[in-house]
Amino acid sequence: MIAGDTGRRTYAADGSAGHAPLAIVLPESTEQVQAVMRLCFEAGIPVVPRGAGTNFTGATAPVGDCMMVGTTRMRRILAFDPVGGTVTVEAGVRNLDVSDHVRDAGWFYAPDPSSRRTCTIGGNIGTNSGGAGHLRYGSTANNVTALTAVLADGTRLDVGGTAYEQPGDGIGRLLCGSEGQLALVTEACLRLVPQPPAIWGLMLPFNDMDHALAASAAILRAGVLPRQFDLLDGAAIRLCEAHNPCGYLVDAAALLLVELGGLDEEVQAHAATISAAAGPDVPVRIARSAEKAAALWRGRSTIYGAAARRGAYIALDGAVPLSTFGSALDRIAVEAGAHGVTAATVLHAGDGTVHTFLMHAPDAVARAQCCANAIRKACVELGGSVSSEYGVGLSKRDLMAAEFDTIDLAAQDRVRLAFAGVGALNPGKVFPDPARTVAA
Amino acid sequence: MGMANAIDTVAPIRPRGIVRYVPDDFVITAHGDTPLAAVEAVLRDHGQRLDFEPPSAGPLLADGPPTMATVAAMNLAGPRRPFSGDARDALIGVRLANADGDIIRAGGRTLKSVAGLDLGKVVAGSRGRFGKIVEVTFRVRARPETRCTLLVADTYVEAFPARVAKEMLAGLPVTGATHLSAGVADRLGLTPADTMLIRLEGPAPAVRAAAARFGQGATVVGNAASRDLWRAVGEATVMLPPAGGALWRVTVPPAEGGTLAAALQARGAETLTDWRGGLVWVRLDGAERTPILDVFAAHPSATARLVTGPAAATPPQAPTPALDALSEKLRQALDPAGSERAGIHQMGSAP
Repeated sequence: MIAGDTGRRTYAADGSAGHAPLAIVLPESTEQVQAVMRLCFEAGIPVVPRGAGTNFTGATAPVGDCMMVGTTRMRRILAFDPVGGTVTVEAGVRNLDVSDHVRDAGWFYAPDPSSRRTCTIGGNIGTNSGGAGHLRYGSTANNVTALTAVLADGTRLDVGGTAYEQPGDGIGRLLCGSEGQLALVTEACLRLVPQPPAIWGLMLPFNDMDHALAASAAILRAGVLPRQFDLLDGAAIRLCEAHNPCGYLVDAAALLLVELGGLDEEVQAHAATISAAAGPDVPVRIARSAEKAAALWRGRSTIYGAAARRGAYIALDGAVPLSTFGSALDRIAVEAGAHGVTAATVLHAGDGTVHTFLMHAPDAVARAQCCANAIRKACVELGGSVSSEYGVGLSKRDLMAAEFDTIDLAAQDRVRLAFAGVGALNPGKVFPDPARTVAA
Repeated sequence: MGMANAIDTVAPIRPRGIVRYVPDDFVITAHGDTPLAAVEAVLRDHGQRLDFEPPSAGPLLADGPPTMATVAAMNLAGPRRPFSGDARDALIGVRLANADGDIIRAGGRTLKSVAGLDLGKVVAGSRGRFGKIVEVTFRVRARPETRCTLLVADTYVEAFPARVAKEMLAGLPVTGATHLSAGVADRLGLTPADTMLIRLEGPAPAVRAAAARFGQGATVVGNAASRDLWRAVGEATVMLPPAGGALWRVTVPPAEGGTLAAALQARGAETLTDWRGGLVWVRLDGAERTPILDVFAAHPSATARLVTGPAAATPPQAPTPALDALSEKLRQALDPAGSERAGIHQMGSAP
């Protein structure tokens, strides 16, 4: 347990700001988690679960007097089935360590958030992390087969199994994305994916965004299912290239980055389909190995660093139906102009994610936040969501009413209470407080 | 941007029962009582499909062709299950009517969203326990360019899961892997020696290259026959026994499916082992005379359910008190005025 001032301050913040919890407990087993949860439940002390604390939303920030339970000492890989393609790990195992463990057997763990070197599987489950590979491989909920979790009162819950269709599968999937408000996950069995023998990267610069969007739609329509499929607007191209030069054409209006995987014949055929969809006027650069493909993606991969180097910024993770990308980009331009901030946008062109980086002057935080909320609401108006990847946490809780009716939120809240009771687990997150208003 | 995205202007397609379908969104929203067949027909017209391949008949669907609500409520999935997931994986939004008359919406209609609790995940497979499913939104995918089915002779069922894993790890675009015991192959009109079915899907050059790996030991099935064959595998109607027999459906870790099927065959059962080992349909004609429940018991990671047969053939289920208590709390949360049996009637056949 960590109870000193210095240690408590270390856990006061995640990727967002926060204040110190009463104390931090770092258990080493499910049984120890049960014991802590039982004690806190009996004492009426709320518990805030925490993985690596990499989230941007305040999802693991302490609220009020609470006990923080961290999983960083639960780092064992418990079992690996090389035929079935599953691996069982403790919640504190880092995302990338899973793939490292199974790599020699030909498998990998597909959900790949940008923070994969540091974020934990428990945290991934809390936010239902996806990443750039979501289009082809799904998010965490699609890649978890079994969970061990501890309810607020210390009860152990085992759901799912290494077989398909096991008791509790649905409840296990419900825990994915529940932001630690239903139970504290201690172990997970994860489904693995075969590593493709060939990985190619493609880079397609476009002179106008409409052409790029039409080409993206045609590629998906043709049945290509890329491993990664991102579309950068002009500002995002210049932001990435300035920080980490990779040969992106800085005067292009849009840049489509594609990663393909499969047999040689599959990636060749899909590369030809992509070139044809773009048309003869688009110069397609093809990287015919995993290393060269990674080099094409390097600029895009470091966009968070690029934005940070530029100064203060807010990163958005809205979601819209694919056919409304054009309208979403128009709305972003309007809102950025109206609020006096600079917007750079990357679309996960296959799953609807809109990552807009709003870069602003240090003294314009409130204005940038208003702009961010206006864009998030625009995503909802287009048929989408306020969050595609980061989750809701504290930062977007008041926007939930824009996306869901009162009846919908009340049902979600009843489910939360059915699991954890009032305020016992990660209180104050996700659900809007009617007393607050949204900055917009 | 002046005109925004050109495809913005495309009007949604709305045949009867479809609430919203813009093909380039790769999402379809339908009323719960829309027949699965109607949705599949619309998708086919636009070169798309429900990737999880829900069956439209068979022993699990005794009430007749399923509606979209049934697809979700029973979490249906066909032979593509290990490669593309099940109904729960593809269900991205749902509307649920409870006994209070509330319509609860969960999820949305974008391919990805993490805002709020994804109640659809627990509604899928709930058999209507949490309320009546009045609307569903599923992710859809483009149909691949080419499909090829191979019959691979002389594959021992014990070695089947490892063989399929080996081909997957070689990067082959496998989207179906099934093993048939001799009697099942015979009833499907295949020669008994043709024991393993492999389906490959993707661009033509990749499918050709993948098929070539199987060499002389494999026979290619024609396209029309291939479609019928995979439908038959998914529906498993061929596994229904005559009077006095029994049919079990066993889900098992894929690596164990081969040894389980072999042990059952040694007791005189016919087996259809799908999902690359993860699903074993077990048919035993004259079930009273040859008890095989001890074979299931030897695989504690498996879940065996009696689909049809004498009550004595029901495998014991391990009690799950914590889970049962939580499931009941969930029902009370989602359908406070409902009863245990609420929603069960929606499992009926399509109108």
